[in-house]
Amino acid sequence: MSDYQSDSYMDEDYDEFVYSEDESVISISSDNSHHGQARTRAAAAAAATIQSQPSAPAQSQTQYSADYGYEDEECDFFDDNDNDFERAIGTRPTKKAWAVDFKVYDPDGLSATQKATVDRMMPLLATSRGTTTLLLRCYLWREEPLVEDFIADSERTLAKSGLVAHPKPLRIESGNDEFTCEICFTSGADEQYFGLSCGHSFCTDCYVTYAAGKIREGESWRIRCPAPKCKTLLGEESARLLLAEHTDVLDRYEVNLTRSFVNDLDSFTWCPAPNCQYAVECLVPRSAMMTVIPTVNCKCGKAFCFGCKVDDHMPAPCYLVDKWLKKCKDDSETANWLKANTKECTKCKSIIEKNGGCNHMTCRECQHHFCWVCMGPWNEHGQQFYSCNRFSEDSSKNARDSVSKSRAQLERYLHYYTRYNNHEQSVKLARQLLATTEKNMEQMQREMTLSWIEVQFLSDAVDVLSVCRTTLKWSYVLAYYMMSDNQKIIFENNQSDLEMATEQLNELVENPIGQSSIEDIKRKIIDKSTYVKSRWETLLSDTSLGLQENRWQFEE
Amino acid sequence: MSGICRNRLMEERKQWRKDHPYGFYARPQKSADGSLDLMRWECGIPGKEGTAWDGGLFKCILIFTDDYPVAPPKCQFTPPLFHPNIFPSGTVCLSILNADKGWKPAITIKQILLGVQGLLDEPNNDDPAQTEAYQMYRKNIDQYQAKIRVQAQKFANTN
Repeated sequence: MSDYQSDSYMDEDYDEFVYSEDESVISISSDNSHHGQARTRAAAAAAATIQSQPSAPAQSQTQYSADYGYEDEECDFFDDNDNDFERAIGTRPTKKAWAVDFKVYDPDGLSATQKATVDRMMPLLATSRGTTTLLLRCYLWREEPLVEDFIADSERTLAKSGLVAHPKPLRIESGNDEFTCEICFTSGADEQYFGLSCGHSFCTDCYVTYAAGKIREGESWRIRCPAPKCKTLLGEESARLLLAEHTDVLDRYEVNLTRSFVNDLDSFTWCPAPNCQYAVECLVPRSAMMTVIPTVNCKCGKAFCFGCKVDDHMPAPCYLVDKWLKKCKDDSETANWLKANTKECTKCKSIIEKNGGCNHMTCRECQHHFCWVCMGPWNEHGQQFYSCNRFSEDSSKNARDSVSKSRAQLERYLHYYTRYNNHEQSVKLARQLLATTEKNMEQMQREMTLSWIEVQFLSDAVDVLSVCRTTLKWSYVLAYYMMSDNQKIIFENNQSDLEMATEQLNELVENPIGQSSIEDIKRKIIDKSTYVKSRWETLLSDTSLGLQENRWQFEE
Repeated sequence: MSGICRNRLMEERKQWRKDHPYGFYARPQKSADGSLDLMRWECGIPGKEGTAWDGGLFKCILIFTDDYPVAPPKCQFTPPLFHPNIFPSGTVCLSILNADKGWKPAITIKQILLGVQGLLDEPNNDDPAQTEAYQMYRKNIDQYQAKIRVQAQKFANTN
């Protein structure tokens, strides 16, 4: 699943994911509008297969099925062309330029996906369920390398992971006079003991203590036989058999297994929201993240970037976001202080803080005498030591013009930072706005005898507001790194259109009741929301296309 | 001391007395009151023949915890040795003595001591534990070997 090209997931043929019967897998058509409806739909269980790969895997499948003579039953699992089904339904929305495909899983969905993969691989490898599962885990669920290695040398592939194709049925034994546990050295016919396919047996007490200890440390499938140097893995069946009476440990074990599944796969990630138990699958490869911003919406409502786990940061790509956040962490306070408290010597550009005294400054570095107020040379000031009214004199003008490039850069950074910061604060304020809006909605319901559904437009508008503010915030990061050219002017026009419309909508939402009639306000707000949303879409489509077309130059 | 820990250590002692590799010794320490402290073992590891360590007998203490044998013991050389994988405190950095790496509950004291003996002449470059020996081992192997030989003489096996 790693070999599709960076552009192909934007392709029309890159189809939506399919859905499992129990609805634990949710397909989202990834319209990141935050209003996009999550659609669930029943489909055949086998359809948990990821169907969105272009032709390369399809070829190899044909090959496998041909090799194994599984033409008929097996190819269902690999069928890439279920798309007709989708088209027949005809509900597929036109995909936005910035949208990426992704799928949200709850823990049950994750288990189902793992099970489906194992089901698919079992007949191919012709190994037991437990062995197939462990092999897949050892190969981090990468099916192709596993199949290749397995075909090349099945014994070696198994031995590498300390496995056998069909292990003997596992059971806890007892009644052996000869048995001595190598861990606690208890012995005798009364002892219950257990061993994996490697033949190393230990008493069940020691085995359980050992396995439980590993599980409490967060381990899952990487637990190996307690014998020195033995690599045999303790499979799920063994763990369930041993820990049957320790349900708390077993629960933890299941959690660890799921966690390791998501962590082992590059195409999966946990939702970063606190206490959220969903995982998201997205097939955008790392290599494409210079030009694509894989923003996903978790079922819990969190919108985040699949690539860097930062909250929704469209339209700025991950690497610029990373750079910006680092810069802000390092610089912003210092820069603000510099701007507020210092000036630069017009001659040597040293940064000077005036901490007292008169306006006659002498630069400690270059001994240049100048006036703090107009920045002009001091010798032209004559006797008016304490009041400078020479702002427009030529020489002081020139001195100010010579303010260094670094100061200009600082100003430039602060220009973008203040706007970035402003929108960030506004997003936070939007939460308060939501609270007041709810009050307004109740008031409207009471006073105008409107139904709850009729006042929904207000909270919808607040949603639109915070989405747009987030986008605006990150648009300033993009603009900061963007080199000036005509393309940037187009971008900035889009940006300012959205910003203006957003501010207007904000004003409307904050004071909805009062002067005019409710119908009037409602119409105004709905109109404005629609307009803002369309500006938002324009900005995002334009930037995501622009990034892919390399329309802009970014400075290092 | 938990039952398993005590039983296991008693058994380890029994096994060791029955059979142990040549030149090694390992015995529980005597407490102040004359009783045996099973949780601390005094051990001696001879340098391997034909290496710069040959001729030395290096003393260490194995310190067990109640979690043993789920958790590995700590192995500490007294006095600390000049060796890339031995901390300035004398504690040995070795995969089989690390609970997250190679430790298995069925590893015996004999296997631990043989493992540490093997480590003496085959340091692991990936896990340096002291700067001096590590730098010298990497930059000037001759000087390093000479220093090891001096160390082996210092701790010469008097038996």
